[in-house]
Amino acid sequence: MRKLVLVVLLTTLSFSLFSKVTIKGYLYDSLSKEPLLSAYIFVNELKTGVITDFDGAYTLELDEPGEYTLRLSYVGYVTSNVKIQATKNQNKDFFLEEDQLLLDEVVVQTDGARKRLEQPLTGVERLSISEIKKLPAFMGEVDVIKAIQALPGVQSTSEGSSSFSVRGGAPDQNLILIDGAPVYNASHLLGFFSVFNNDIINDAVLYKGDMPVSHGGRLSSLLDINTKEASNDKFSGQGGIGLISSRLLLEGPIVKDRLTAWVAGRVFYAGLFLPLSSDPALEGTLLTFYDLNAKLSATINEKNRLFISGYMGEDYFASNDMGNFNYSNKTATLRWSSIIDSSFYVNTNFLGSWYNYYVGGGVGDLSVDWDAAIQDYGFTQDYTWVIDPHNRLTFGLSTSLKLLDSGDAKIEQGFGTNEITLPRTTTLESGLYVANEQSYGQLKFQYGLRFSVFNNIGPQSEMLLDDNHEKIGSVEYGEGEFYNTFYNLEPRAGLSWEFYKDMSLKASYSRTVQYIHLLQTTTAGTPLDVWRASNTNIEPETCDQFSLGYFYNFDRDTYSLSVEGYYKILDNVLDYKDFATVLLNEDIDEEVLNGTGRAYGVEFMFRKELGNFTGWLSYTYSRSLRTIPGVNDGKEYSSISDRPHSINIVGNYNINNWIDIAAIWVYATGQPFSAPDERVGFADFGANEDIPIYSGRNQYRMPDYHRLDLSVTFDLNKGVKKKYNHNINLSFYNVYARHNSWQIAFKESEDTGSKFAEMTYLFTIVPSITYNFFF
Amino acid sequence: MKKTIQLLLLSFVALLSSCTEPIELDIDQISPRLMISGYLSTVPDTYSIYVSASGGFFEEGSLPFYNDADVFINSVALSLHPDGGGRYVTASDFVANAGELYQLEVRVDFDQDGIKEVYTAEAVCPETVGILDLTVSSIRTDPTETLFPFTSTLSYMDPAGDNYYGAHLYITHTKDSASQAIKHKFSDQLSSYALNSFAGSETEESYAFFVAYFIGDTVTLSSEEQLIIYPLDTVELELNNFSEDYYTFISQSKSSMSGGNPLFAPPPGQVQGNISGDVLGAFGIYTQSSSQAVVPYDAYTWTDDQMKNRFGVNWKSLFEEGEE
Repeated sequence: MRKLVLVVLLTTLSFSLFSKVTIKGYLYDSLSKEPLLSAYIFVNELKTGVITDFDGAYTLELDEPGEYTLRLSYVGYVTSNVKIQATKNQNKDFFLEEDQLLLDEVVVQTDGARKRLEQPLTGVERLSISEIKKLPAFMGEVDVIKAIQALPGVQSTSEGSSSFSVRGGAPDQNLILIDGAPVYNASHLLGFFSVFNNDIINDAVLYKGDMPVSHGGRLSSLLDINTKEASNDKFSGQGGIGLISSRLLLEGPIVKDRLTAWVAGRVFYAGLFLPLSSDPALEGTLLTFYDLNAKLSATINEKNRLFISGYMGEDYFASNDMGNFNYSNKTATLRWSSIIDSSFYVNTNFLGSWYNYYVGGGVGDLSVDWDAAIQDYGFTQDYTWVIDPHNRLTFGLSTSLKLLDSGDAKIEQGFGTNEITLPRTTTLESGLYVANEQSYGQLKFQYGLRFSVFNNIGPQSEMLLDDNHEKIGSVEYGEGEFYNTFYNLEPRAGLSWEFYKDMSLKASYSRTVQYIHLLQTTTAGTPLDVWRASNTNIEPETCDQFSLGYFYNFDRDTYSLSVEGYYKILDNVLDYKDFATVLLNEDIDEEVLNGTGRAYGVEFMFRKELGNFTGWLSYTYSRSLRTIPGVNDGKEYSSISDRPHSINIVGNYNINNWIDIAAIWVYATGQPFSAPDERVGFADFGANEDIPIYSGRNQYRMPDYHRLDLSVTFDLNKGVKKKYNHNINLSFYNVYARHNSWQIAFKESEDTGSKFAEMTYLFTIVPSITYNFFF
Repeated sequence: MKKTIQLLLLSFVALLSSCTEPIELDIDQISPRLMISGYLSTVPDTYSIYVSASGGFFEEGSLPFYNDADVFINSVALSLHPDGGGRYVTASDFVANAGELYQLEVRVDFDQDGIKEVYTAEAVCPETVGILDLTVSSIRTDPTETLFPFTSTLSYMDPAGDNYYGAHLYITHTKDSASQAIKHKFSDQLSSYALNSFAGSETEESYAFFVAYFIGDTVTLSSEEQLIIYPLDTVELELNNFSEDYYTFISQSKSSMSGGNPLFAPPPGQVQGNISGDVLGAFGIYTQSSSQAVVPYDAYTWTDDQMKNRFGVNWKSLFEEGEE
């Protein structure tokens, strides 16, 4: 592997010897003057391009002086072609206009399709907030994760849930970042809303296959959500008022061209009215959530910028009779972006993430308190060196100190206290990486290597398990002792070959390693699912993914067609043993087993990105299987994410310049679950009772899932852009009131004693109306 | 405590769960398998071994049983119960002794080839555990509370080695006990038998302290019959020490039955038994030791009318120690 690194460095260095002209600068939104990150700047004559960085900065290294045409494109913006005279090194900033659906502009090109065609990555999906907002809302809220779930290869793990599965992976195998900080529970209301307020999102990128080597720690995907930059132009705001929730964002310059800020908030208040209900079960209940986001961006000088952003949100659920249940997420990011010279820049991040959950309640003088938390403190430093027009080298490091505290549960009664102390873990997860993006004519390569290290740190008591995975003792480790270490090399590589006009073939390989794991028994998802770190009993999970793709754009990138296939080989995947004791288990390692897995599939996507009608049609065939000794008699079985067929149809149509309609129809094979197929009589204690017998794990399926959502948006200014703009959005979730299974229970008829399966479904049709405003 | 937290969480989730409806599932047709189960205990009694077969989970009707089997315990033949039903019984004074090995042998022609197959299992009788104390306490502090008004707590000495505990709870009506002692099982559900698995937290060979049961103010005996618990009723708690395989079978069976509420249920699997061959069921032994306590009076639990009906108009004189 060292040779590979050496070859990479030598190859890239050799290109830096040529003389060249450097054009550098920033790309901004023409109105708000917000920098546009990850926008595409393409040099038509050279058939190559660069992507702007976190600050919207770009650097073009041109081999020869001359006149060039730059194509500037960004999702949700009108693409612009600009001629430049590149006779000497120069700074040049550009501006793009937003693709305002309400304006009568002719959009000629889109960058999304072009980028997908050319970039040497498979399985990457980028959604701008303008695309996300085109989708129908659920309970009045457009949601980035609901939008992600409509992409091929991505599925919701259960009805209404913000939890998702990517290419057959488990929900915990997705690394979800907001401004670089990890989010451990991205859901509000047990999953019906995500924690991401769409007003603050700039874009969301989902890496389904080739996760960048700068990131690791999860097997399946990276969902990288970047928040917007505040307008540097004027004070402005936007928000929405709905029947059950409302939101508001305020933004503007604090010091013109130096300091900008925005602050956004959202509150769900439908649950606050439950105490007014005549239903006694609801009368004593309180249900609410809120979240707050803020970002401060400072331009220190031409070469240095500083950003501070944060998120905090909390769900609160209380019942007079029983107690309360709340959980919260907080994240913080401090980013320093520095341009060392025209071709070399550095991003330094200090990151924090905190996740807490609490269950408390009482019955008489019996009371219960369960408090648990995750704390994650991270540091990353990323270097980018644009060596020449053909080579872009990135390298850096990351480290993260994680404190996983499953909590203490305490029961108090008049005559005593009983306590359960759950595992508490301290870990350090670090990584070094180097990668290069290289191009030769119509061939583009991206290759890199990540070296990850994971440490368990004392004090800790680690269980000793016998061959049957049963506890036979424990070993104590002292305060601050690095008592267990895992190392892994994670090579990742991809290439794209535009073998014919507007057609490309791609191939990639990536290896990912996961050191912390979410143990859960149900995909319904509760905040009480346990995060557990690798240790002397739990090996890190690994995944080797091979992907192939064919991409075709036609009609000037108006339409795109892609077919991507993948095969994943997984090792040390975890699952609970049969009849595991899950809740409040002090010895949880005893209850999990590891084995191997495989997932494979093919994703078809047909997309229309320009014109009054936009949308996509996708079909995915995928399988996700596990083989774990001790589970399902050691035979291969379906993981909970194994849903072979999935179809998404998404459409948005601008009827005129002030009415916009959108629809989405989703279909997926039913989720696997365990069901009894046999029963025996058991009469040892007198009355004859039936015991259900389960012949295997996840051997049956819930009914297929499908749903249609519709929405219509009326611009109240009738398409004329004014100082104060507003619209009304009317949405219908699950239009034809399909009863989709959330969970299935097995019951016995009181009258006949016969057994039957009973499905719980959460929603029929859910209408919502939201008034949105912008000023 | 885990059950309390589960109850709390389930109440939250229930608010989000809007509707339920029966559904048809495409479940495989499974070939019937032989089921053998039975236990022995340390109290003189008639004990039974059942020989039956499994059926499809959703199939209606009673399950098949075998009245033509030969059943032996330590080579002594058991007799078919007069009611049949695949039930084979010991003598009425059978007693299992601590530390002794008991071997079950069942011969039955399950595959109907004219030859009886032989199935065996064995278990060692565990040590009887002495209860040191049983206390029934009122935990209700507010008349509006609707959940369990009482809890029972017992203490005992944990014997050496691995022990697998379970418990039975009985409520005896004092009013009826003079004429006819009525021992009501607390519940008809299997979960009551091994409701509390004590394993894991007790220190070897030390005093163990355990919140054994929450006790409601009524016991549902059947869909038609409810038993109201009153002050001065007797609570009898029977502590059992199970042979390991049988305990595993009971525990896993209980988990399998939690499919009625899968959200917090453990992942189900094949229930493990200890009968030889591809046979379902288990054979085991458990010890019995009992202790009794009286249900205390609690002002927040019973109405004046209830107390009058039960103890007469002067009921307050029975509880003169300021317990009101």
